[in-house]
Amino acid sequence: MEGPHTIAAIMVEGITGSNGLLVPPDDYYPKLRALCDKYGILLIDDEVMAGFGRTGKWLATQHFGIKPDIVTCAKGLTSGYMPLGAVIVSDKIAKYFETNMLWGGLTYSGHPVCCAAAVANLRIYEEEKVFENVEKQGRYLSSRLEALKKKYACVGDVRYKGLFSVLELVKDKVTREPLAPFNGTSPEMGKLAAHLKSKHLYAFSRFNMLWVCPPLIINEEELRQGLDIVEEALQVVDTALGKSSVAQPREPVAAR
Amino acid sequence: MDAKSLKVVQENRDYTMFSWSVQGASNPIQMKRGQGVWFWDGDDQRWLDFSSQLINLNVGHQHPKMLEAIKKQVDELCFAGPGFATEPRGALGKKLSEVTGLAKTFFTLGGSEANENAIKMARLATGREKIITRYRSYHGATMGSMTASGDPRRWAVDPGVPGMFACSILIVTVARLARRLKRAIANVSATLKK
Repeated sequence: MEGPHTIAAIMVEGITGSNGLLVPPDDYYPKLRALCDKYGILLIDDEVMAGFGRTGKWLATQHFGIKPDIVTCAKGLTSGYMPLGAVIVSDKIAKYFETNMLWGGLTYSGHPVCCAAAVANLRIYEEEKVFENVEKQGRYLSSRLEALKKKYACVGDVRYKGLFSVLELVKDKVTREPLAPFNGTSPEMGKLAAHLKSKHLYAFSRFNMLWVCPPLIINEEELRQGLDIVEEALQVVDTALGKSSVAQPREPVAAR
Repeated sequence: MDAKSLKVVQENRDYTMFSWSVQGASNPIQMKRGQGVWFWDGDDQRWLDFSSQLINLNVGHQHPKMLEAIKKQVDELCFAGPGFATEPRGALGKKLSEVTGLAKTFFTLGGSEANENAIKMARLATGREKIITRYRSYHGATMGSMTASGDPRRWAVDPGVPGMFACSILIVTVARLARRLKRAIANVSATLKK
């Protein structure tokens, strides 16, 4: 069984989260949407991490002007106050299940306390203009991240959308050799994490990456405090690598 | 850490399992309370949360409107089976249609379950079997959603659920390809000149 007519769906994260915050180029989603439409393949948009304001919009794919056939979400739906996930389907799929059995169920599907928490959470996003704050703080965050990339030898790349961001750490800015191997860690990454912990900054790191994804209600002063600690930790890494932080490295040969 | 906090951590370590951890190496921080972007540990030390816990605590800790809404619903009705209609369920479904532009919602308890059900619904609605996902992706830790993930965490469930393929979905336009080639050629000639 080969060929596009055997494919039910293409499932993608709106913006890839825990594998390195990969923000697609602007034409990626329109082209993926067109590809799916051409072959009758459903586009499933996993917005579990990126969804509901993290990037400044309800869904990350809304930045790219496309509509998926199915959206899945969870985390940003209730902010975690109660456990809840959702599968949101297009009119066409909803119509299919009007006359066909939905072979699935969960005892806690539609749990009233979870749903009430989600209703309140979505209302807070609107009433308190949380997404506007994401855009505002996101601008400050991105300017700081770009400055860190210029200043510290160990920062190979920074990627961000709203308050969804990552620093990719390297041993060498030119070769982009990762500070820790894929699916591994290194003494330098250990030092980075230990420094953040010693300063009581709770942050997620994996392989050679450090995520900066604070609550969406953060203010600039709080963001500044945390980023100052991140900056100290980067200095620790540069020192461990024997690199000078202020040196301006030449651009990698194969500039992207 | 005081004796009470030590006991809390010890009980957690002795009687519960921590996700994605070699259990003997897990070293949990006790969380006693939280407020906004901050939380306090067993030593009453304040931490700044730069990862929203697991990138989920969007409105921060202990938002008063969240506490109020949950308490109100708890007082009114804590549980109804999945076949019943309730006020918050309908209101949420309507709101989700409004903000996504889609039609209807099926509720689960988390992201993994949502993806499992999305895959099942896509197969039912199309009558097709294959699910294509991306290399370097994560869709959840249950058998199906983990199989769909392009992540080393999948290896623990391999061979997993049949019919799912994590691969590179590259969409490169001819124009972009031409730009890249041009840049590569320029780089090579610049290097040769040196």
